[in-house]
Amino acid sequence: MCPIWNPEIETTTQDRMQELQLQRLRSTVALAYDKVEPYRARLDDAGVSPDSVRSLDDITRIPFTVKTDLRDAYPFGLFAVPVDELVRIHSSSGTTGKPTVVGYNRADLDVWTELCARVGSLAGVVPSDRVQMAFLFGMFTGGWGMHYGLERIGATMIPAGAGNTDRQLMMMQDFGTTALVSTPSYALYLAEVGESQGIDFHALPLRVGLFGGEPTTASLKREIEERLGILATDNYGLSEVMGPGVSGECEYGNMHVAEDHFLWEVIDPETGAPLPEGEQGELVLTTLTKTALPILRYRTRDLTRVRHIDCPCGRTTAVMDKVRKRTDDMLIIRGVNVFPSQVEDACCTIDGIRAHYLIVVDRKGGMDDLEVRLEVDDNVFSDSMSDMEALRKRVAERIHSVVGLNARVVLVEPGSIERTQGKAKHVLDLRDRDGE
Amino acid sequence: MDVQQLSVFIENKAGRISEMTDVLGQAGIQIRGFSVSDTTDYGIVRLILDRPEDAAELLSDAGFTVKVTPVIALDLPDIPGGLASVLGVVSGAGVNIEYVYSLIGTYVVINVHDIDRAKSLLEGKPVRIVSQEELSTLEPLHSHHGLGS
Repeated sequence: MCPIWNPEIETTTQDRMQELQLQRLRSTVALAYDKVEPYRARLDDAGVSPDSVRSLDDITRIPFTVKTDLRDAYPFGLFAVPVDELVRIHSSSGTTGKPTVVGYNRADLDVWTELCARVGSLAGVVPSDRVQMAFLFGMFTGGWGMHYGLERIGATMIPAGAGNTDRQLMMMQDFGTTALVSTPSYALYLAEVGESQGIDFHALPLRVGLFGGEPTTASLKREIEERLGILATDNYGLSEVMGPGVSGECEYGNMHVAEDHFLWEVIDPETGAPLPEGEQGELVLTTLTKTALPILRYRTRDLTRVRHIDCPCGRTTAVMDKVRKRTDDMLIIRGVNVFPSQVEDACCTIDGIRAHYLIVVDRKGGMDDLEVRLEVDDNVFSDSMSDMEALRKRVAERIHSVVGLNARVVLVEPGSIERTQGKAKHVLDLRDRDGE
Repeated sequence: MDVQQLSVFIENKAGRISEMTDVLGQAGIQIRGFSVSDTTDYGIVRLILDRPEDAAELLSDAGFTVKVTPVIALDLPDIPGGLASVLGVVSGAGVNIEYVYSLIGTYVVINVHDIDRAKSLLEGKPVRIVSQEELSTLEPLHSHHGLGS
């Protein structure tokens, strides 16, 4: 049985938890009202004063916060403290338009580290572990959050960062890595490359993986566990409300939510109405302890279910289903968020290319594969083969610079991409067919 | 008039080239020569025809992506070294050839960047430049297998 990081909280009664949540909700609403002008305006419009929040049900009177609210406030419009008080800033990629900026003061950073330590403990990470962090650092929250959280547990951190697979495999063998932090796709990729090099992963001390950045499907989990000889665990978070640390999978496969720090709701994505516990809907999160950037009722666009169960691990915190689908058209390809509109911007701003494109996502050799099909009409078509190939290359380069991924660009005949009456279907996601 | 070459974009799908040649055949259009350039996903088929404008319209209507490019057609002497001598003249005149392919009989087609410049460079040289009209009005040849006419 894995040690529980904070047993007092993580095994508390539901009554005590709700008491704590209400107390923290009231102070968060008060903080947002007093210190964040856009929130005060919105709460005033909705007729919600901090004092009027008397029970957890009152949360439904508070208006939602959506992604564009954070974008519109770029860079520091939603912060409740002066920027000088921040000790860390992170941002999302924001390849089209402004990125989303988040910030942490010292107290927030301490909470974040605690939550990531909880995630580590959920996965069974202990001080004697050697953790190889094959996750992107830079402006994203993922690598940093897990780094400090697992370091707090006392594990030996190997901040390998993303890429450089040969070096990763060398360190894994030479440093005696016992825990891997990465996207599940990358874990599989490491397995493939390692196998081709003749590495016997089962002979290595590698025993657990903490995967994030994209959903770990059931079949991915199985394959990773078989090939690397480890326990594969999932964890969930989003930078808008913190980063990693919102929930993490215990050894029994249940994702426990840090509900003392995040008040969760599950709503009907169409109507915004709250759904009863256990029904699938859109996850909405309210921060309960963040002071630099309090966030009220953030619509995550992730579809899931949250419920209280009797988990054999002993934790009483609510458990959420792994997120498989989104309410909007965002795709997650190799751990990168991709909006079809970004791909459209990338290719269709090149002279002559019309808006008839199809993004085809599939899984090939354990990795997400991205193909973009473009129709070749009279404007695009050139008699010169080298011109056509140069065009293809230009489109691929443009897609890479906007989205950050390598796409295979395939030229197809006009009319071969299906036209629809209503909203154009720009995405063919063949990964769904496994029904996971 | 300059020889008008049709380039057709063909996706690498079975039957696509024959669909195209069907359209031409049904309209009674004669192919004087062709060349195929291909990658794994698609190919460019270049055609010299007796009625290039009609063909362009028909293929377009049938959903093909078509481009018309002026090219230079030359008549070769049918002797060993014939092609070499012609190409020698062309490149000797400083003309860079994008691609070459042969047509029926003794004709070849070359594509160059600057047609007018190329033609003026070739003036007075021992090569015969051929017009679209000549290719349009050629008598049909008899093929060797004797399968009807």
